[in-house]
Amino acid sequence: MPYSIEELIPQRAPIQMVDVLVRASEDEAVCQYTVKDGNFFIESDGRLSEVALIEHIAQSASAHAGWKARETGATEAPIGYIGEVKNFHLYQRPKVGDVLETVVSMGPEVQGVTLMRGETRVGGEIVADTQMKIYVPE
Amino acid sequence: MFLNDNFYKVISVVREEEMKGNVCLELLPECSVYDGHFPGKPVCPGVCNMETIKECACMVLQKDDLRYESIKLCRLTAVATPAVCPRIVVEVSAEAKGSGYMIQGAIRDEQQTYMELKGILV
Amino acid sequence: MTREDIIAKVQSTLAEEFEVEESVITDDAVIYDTLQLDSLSLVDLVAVIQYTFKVKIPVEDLPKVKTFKDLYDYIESHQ
Repeated sequence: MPYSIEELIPQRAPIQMVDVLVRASEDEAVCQYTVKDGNFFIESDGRLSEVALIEHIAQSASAHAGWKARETGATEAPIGYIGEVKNFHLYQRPKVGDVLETVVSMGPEVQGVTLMRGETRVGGEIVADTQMKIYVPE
Repeated sequence: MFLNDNFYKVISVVREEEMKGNVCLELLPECSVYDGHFPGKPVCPGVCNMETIKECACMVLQKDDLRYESIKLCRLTAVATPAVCPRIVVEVSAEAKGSGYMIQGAIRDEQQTYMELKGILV
Repeated sequence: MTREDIIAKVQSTLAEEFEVEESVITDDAVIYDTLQLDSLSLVDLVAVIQYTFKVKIPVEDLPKVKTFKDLYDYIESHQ
């Protein structure tokens, strides 16, 4: 992957929640993130709050949008907003050091709103999944 | 409750019924989350507002360790920032469901609604 | 798919997806108002039609699909 993550997503510490865009295609992307101690969402028990997984999945979609933009000559990562979260499920809360691997599948886009599905695993075990709409102002 | 006195400050908690109430909050512009969301352009992360609804539900229900098991639907209808909406009201209503609660939450100010959410807390 | 099949499938699919009664989905009813669409949920309409009928409605064609009768015509002519 020719791009650093900072070239693909606008978010930065302490809320940056993607380290690497592993691979991407027209309508799918795989991203990775290692849970770090300074992450904004680490709770007193050393585990991520469950909403952090929604942010991680949204940033994975953002990385896909950034990749598509760069591939077509953009010079900045587009800013996207979560528009809707639907059928989110938490299965387990990752801890510091865990490596999150997420697959996002991108659906249709209408007037800047893209429908997508994301699923996050740690060591192959499901951690969270959700549907989401990401709004990228045109 | 890691956002309390970090992302927001509680102004008042009004419990209308055992499982219904609203919480008036002040957003804290100096919160570190704005360093990265986004650099030079502070915008409330939608997920922080979802966490805020959960924490306010904990205040109304007087329980301090509830978690989202699932979120059926959460709509983010306007972009919230500490400048646009320094003070917000979080409305929460709940009903017992299995070992947890089905909750409905909303974040509003006098001008508009920023978020509406339906989920299960356990 | 016959036109009658399309109509029946559109009514049942959209009634479930947008939580409305099938009876409100009539030929001349305006889709946007009947399903209470907004900028966030318009993409759901495009997605459910694409998934159910394998017909993709490009953004530029959306203005042509105002009523449910327009939608039946569109699906029928793009199968």
